[in-house]
Amino acid sequence: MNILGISAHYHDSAAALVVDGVTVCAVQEERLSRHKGDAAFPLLAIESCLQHAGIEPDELDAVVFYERPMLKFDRILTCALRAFPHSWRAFPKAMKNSLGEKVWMRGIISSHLGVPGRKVLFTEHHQSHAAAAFLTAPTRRAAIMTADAVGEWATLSVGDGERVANGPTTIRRFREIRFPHSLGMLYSTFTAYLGFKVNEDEYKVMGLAAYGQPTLVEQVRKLIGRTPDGAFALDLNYFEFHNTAERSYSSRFVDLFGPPRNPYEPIDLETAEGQRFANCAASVQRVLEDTLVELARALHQETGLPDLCLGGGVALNGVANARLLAESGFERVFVPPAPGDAG
Amino acid sequence: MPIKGKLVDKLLTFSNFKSHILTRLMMDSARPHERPTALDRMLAPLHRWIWSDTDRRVQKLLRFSETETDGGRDILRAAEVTSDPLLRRLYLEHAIDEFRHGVLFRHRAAALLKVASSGSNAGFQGEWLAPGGHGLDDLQVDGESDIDMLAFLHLSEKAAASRFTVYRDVMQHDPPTRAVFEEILRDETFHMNYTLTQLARVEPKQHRRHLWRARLSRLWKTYLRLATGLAGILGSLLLTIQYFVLLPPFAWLAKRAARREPSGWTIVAAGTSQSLDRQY
Repeated sequence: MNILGISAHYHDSAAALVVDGVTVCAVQEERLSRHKGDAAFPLLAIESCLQHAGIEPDELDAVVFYERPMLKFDRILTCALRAFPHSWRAFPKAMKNSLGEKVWMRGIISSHLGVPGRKVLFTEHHQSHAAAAFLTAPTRRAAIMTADAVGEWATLSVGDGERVANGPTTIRRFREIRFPHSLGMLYSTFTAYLGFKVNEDEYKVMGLAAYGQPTLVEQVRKLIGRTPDGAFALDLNYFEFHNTAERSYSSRFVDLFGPPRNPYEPIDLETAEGQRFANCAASVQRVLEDTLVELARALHQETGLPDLCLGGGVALNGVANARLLAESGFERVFVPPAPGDAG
Repeated sequence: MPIKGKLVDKLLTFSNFKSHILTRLMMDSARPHERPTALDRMLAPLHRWIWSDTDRRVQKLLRFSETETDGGRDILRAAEVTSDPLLRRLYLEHAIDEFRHGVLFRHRAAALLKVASSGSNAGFQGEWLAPGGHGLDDLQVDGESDIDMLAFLHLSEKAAASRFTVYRDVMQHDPPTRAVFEEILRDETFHMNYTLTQLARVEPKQHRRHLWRARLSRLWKTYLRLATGLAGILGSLLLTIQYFVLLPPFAWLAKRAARREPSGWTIVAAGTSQSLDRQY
């Protein structure tokens, strides 16, 4: 059975080809198009995968898109309605973006590849992350945690996976935290505040954190509180990402942390201002790690499994992953080679 | 000095060194500076207005920086794929120029940012009226022949030289930015000339036909850009009207529903992810 997986139209478009349950090729579009973070429909990546396996598009049994476009559209529209009238600038852009291309994925895939529409299938965004994390891990049974900025509605989900010899593989998601409450968005907001590019430069925040002290942890904790059931919720007064596409943090956020960094000025750690930015990075990194460790610890207690599979863009944070391995109680932690949207 | 600064200095020094090496080539293909086209001359008052605002200038310089750097990357790829040794050398020099232009634009924008009122988006920037350097649009470098690549580059550089002449002329109130354009303009003129000379060398008989084909292709892309821009404006206008006329009752309902939504975990019902046919 030949199954082609596609990720497209947000960032880091990619394609992967699975033949009889074995991944024979997976490639990110940017590697072939030479456009960093390329979000275009991954024609080059698809072509490369098919060529590598020596098969034609009509030999594909299924083409699976990595999320449910209409469910995502539902979230975008609902958020625009909730933010009325502040979302008036973002609304036309979001609608043109969604209605212009993103919600017509079945037709787009079908026409690009020449496969019948019935062969085009959809899976939930976090289900895709969970599958990429579990199916690439050398384990038969594991707990699964996925976290990113946002998929359709989910921003973080927990569950488990089981692979039975000569039998079916099951991936279950127990529960999820929904947009706008998102660890990924919290981190991305600091990425933007620190003058870096969102969905691209989060690694720079992680790197900068090593040069600072987590002196602002209390302030960051004002932004993200724990709910009685063990999840978390953002205090939306400090954010604007759910209202507008122009800025992700509010003026209250600026009152709390000071003026944002000019993206074109170097960070000089010898100055108080440079040190403040490093401390901001260290503080959000610490809060991210603490939250992930607590969530993973609870998942470990719940499942009693020794292995944890991590997926989603937040799993690109290698420093947090190391703390998860050391402190969550899991004996082994597996992260796929591309845990973000490319995976 | 920070590593990045050293790198920039090296690029700039290398560029001076390179200019000596290329003097002969430049002499071979020397032509006077490109005069602005009639359209660019006609739009000069508009360009003057667009460039008069500091925030807008910063945003445009940053965009130019990206365009030049992207173009440089593509030309570097062209240098890798061409089988003509002289073209490879020239493309390489050209790419280095583009990267240096990117640095110059970025440095100037960073200097302006220090005095700009904000680093925010400055609203209307007349992007389709005052475009930047050439960029390589959707040209697939790997699939292009040397002839098509040279024809495309020549026209792009010619257009860029024409626009940068106008930008330089309307920048009398900002001598440092004017100096940046002046410096880049010299390179653009050289690029414009060497691409034409090389096109005539590679395809002595039919190079004019290729130039015309490239011209038509640019014209078509310009039309598409304008049409898309216009459609975008109309679409935004209609959607904004709908937003204020149709959405308020639904917004009220959505807000009411949001207030009732519990925070924390949401249980994922078994079977919700089972159907792979559904898009919602």
